[in-house]
Amino acid sequence: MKTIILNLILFLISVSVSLGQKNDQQFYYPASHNWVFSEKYPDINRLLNSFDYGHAVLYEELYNNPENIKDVLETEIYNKLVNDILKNGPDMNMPEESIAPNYSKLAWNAMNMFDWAHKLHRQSYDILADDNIKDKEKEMKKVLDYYLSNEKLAFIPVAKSMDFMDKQYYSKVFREKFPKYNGLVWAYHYLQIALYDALMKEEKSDRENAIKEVYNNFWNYLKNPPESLPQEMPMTMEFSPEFSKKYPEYMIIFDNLHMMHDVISDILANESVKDKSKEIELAIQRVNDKNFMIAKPDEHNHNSDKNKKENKENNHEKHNH
Amino acid sequence: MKNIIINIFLIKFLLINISFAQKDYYNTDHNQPLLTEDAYSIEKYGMDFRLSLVDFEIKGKNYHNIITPEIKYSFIDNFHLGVGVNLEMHKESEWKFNGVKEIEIKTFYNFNRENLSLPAFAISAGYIYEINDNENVSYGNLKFIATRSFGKLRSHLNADLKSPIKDIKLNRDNLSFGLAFDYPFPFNSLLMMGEIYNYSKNRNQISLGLRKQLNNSLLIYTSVGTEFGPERKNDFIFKLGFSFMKGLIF
Repeated sequence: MKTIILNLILFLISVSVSLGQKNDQQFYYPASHNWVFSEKYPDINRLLNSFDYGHAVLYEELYNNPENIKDVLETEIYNKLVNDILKNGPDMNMPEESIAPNYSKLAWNAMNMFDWAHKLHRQSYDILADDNIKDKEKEMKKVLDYYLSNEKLAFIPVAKSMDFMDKQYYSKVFREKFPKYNGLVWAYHYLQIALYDALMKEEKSDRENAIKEVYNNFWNYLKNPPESLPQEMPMTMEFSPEFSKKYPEYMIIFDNLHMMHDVISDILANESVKDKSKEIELAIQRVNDKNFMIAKPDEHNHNSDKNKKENKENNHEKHNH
Repeated sequence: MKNIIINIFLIKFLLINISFAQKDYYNTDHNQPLLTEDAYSIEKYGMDFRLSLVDFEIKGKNYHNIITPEIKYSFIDNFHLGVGVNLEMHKESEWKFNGVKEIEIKTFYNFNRENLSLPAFAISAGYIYEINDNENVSYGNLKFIATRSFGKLRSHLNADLKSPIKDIKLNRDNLSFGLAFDYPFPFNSLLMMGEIYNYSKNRNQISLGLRKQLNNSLLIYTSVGTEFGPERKNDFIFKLGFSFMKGLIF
């Protein structure tokens, strides 16, 4: 019996040493402002929870059924999301591994990194929404430092070039195959980043109006898909310029996060990528590689797509930004 | 009874101003509500307060209840440390409070995340101090845990060794095994589960349980079960408890 137990322990240690994927989950920064945003803006909070579901179900479906998923994603799942889930989202956020159990086995490290960055989104909303915090910059710095202190999970605040998303051998397949779903994901990202400047308005009435406008803009995106949906990935500098100037590291992290969402979608959707797990791990390494496809100084607020100018004008027209 | 009130008061005091959320209705720990647990620790810097109010067992006309306050904390990746106390109540003709029955200190370490080829593995090691009428006994406890999912259905296998430290014996009487399945309903923050637990050759337990996150601060769990086999000790088992999560960074 002693031998069996010893062997079991040795086996577990060898498993631990040899496997790349550790659980490594970490609690968000504990503070008085936790969950202030969700209490003040429950409708938007439910939307954000639905976005997490939308990301998770997308990856699960792309991974489980890449050959025959086009109609399901673009019609059945898209309609369910837009007509049901986004309108009746859950009050509490969901562990994405319960929605995407197979994808989480494939790419736990990526899922965990996303989860960690989503926590940063939520915590920064909490700070900006909390009227009791006098020195918001100080609190934003604390939360950012806590986020970055987890080097395994944090996106580093070094801006990636759009080439990272657009010019790899697997790039752009997802948006070409699934234009509606891709536009929906970009609409999620619009709301997530446009909220920041709205939350930073000094006057309460201005703030409430701006938040309402962002919320309405999001729903306007979904009115006549795919034409009405965003035609390029929304960048933080474009939709929250004040926030981006004040908190440039946040801007970079969120843009990198959103690019990485597209990168994972492309890897899963592109049939020429044979070893999905390996390619995702490589993308994780590259997104935090300070020398790989780094943005030029003026590249923060735009897309490298040739149709950028035209698309941008369209977007601005739609949203009066 | 006085001790119970003091304990409940202390727990209540600790929980004042806690408004933090947890999402670990999906993370099944020992006795919350099943005996079988999953292979994942609580989140790093998470502090989990548990108050199991009812762990009720009926055998014929004997009624037995255990109240368990427990605190767990994680300060290292994939690891947590827990301390718990069992307070015992017993009824034959009338309810009698027997005071502290057990003190348990437990460590838990998760080795890996489940991937495409391997389940998640964890090990738990603990020390249990059992307070009896005649002689108090110290136990060592070692548990091996594996979790594997099949789509949304997760399975958990536990092998649990508990032996008196004074006289360590590795035999079948010191070993117990649990097999549990759970299924999540993420939109309702609900986990349904069932288990079969084998204490010895002739004593087994079957239970069904639920874990539900009620709001950002509070999780409730409950289960019902019964034992079977020639050596069964209880006819009916019912559990009810609460769990709270707070973040803590030193």
